[in-house]
Amino acid sequence: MATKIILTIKQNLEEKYGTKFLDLEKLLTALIAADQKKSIETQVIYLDKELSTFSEKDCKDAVDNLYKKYTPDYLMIFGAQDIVPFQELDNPLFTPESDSDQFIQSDLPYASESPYSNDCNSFTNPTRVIGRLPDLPGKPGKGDLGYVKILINNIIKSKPISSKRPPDYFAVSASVWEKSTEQSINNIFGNIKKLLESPPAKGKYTADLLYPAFHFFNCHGGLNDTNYYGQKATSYPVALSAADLNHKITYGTVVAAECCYGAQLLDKAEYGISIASNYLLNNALSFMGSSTIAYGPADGQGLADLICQYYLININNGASAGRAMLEARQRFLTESAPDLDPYELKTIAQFYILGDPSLQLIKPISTKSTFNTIENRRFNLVTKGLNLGAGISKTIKVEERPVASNYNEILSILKQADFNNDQQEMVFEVESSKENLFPKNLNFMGISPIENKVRFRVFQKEVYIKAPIRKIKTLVVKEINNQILGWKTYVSR
Amino acid sequence: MLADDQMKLKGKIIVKLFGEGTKSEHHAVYIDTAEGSYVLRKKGANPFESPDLKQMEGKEVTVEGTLDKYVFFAHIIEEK
Repeated sequence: MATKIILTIKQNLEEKYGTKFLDLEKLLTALIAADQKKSIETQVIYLDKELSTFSEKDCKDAVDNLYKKYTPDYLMIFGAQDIVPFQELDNPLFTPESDSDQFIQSDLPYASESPYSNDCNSFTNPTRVIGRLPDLPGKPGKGDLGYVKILINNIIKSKPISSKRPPDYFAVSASVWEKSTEQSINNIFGNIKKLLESPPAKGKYTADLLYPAFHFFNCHGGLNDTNYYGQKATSYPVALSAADLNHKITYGTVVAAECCYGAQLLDKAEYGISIASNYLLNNALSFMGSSTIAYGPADGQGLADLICQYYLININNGASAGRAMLEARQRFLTESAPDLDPYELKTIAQFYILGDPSLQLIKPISTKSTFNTIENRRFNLVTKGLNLGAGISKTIKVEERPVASNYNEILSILKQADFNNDQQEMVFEVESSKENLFPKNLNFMGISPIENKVRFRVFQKEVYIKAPIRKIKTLVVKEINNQILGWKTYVSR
Repeated sequence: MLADDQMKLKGKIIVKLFGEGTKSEHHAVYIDTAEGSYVLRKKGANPFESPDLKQMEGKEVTVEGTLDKYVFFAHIIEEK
């Protein structure tokens, strides 16, 4: 029998739900009973006894202690950030002029064996199958029990639906990111027939359009805002409003949103219900998205494109929501390893899933040639996550930029990438942890990987397509001991 | 008297690039105060298009609302 623990903080729930807290406990008890019928042994554990304060550090420590004690197959955090806090990680790209997120609200640390830290680098070793079932954020005494009831009842009655090849979908892309989204949609669904561009798409979709079980968005999103936005030139029409979802979403829908702030959870009384919260209210069972500003190239594939598509592909292959997310994180890290640039670091930290991680949404096409136990899957995932962590070094921003002795080569790359030499430059160095991997006398290009650090030089430039249309291009140059190893560009969206 | 979470700021309306190099990049309206610059947004308005605020570029204003991270959500904007 599989095991699941639901972790939450009783005192915060009591303050938020007052006398309705007992009814909330009954809902969780009903979930335990329903899980039992699905061969999942579930228990609710209040973190309160493990906590001296409700700080992020204490919560991380408590989750780690309980995880080690129970080693569950699934770990579900119950409650929004005002019940169990997100872990706020330092954003390696934070600058007031460009990436305004000082912190990244993250659940990634809860998925990792590493101890509490504010550093994204500490959590490149995810091993745990986790997810967060959020309630609606709200002030003390203002807990919305009706919302929780709908979400839990939806989980209780869930059954995986049969896999379709190719799966049917609803997808919207900002018009300016059409090429990149087409590749993502093709990779996930095998065709782009149903991809909508915004503009002209402007929300208010019919129930027929929204009917498919897979939803995908590559649009703009804003802090504390309840819409996603399309873009064509300087026009940013609403591509989806939270209210567009009311009574139109098919039970069991799964969503991936690349949008900035795509999975934020808002106090309804303050800003209105967020798109993520309203999807769950309207019978979606899993929502994957970002807490903060996200990145991806305009034409190719990278960053948010990748982690979102990995998630949906895993779901369609029959993984539980939590395993789909863990495998997406591990695949993203595998592709990015061994040296993560700061954009990759932010991406791995900022995406999380909302919903019960134990839910299998799609029944895979059955094969009789293999037999794979949950124990085997977990063992493999833990081993892989720990190996990833051991092989990925820390990427740290260097405050005093080292002078490039390979300046002419850098200039040549700037020219090839259509940059000039007066762009803002940030430098990141990879702390070497290769002592355990490389034999001491093994050199590449005459350079010892043990004695020399990998360095990323990050440049940003404006590109005027046609006034007033403009884009920003980011160039990341990778080097070691002043020898260029490669470069890539991320184009702003 | 202002509610606990309400603030009043005085400053100049400026328009500058927000989120350079990110998926959120656009020309945004800021209020530039002695303490710093904050993205200025009317509560509930499109965060990427604010033609009415852009028309106020260069003007000194007093705004009332709430500050969350780097965004000031205003419900009152008054020209000096």
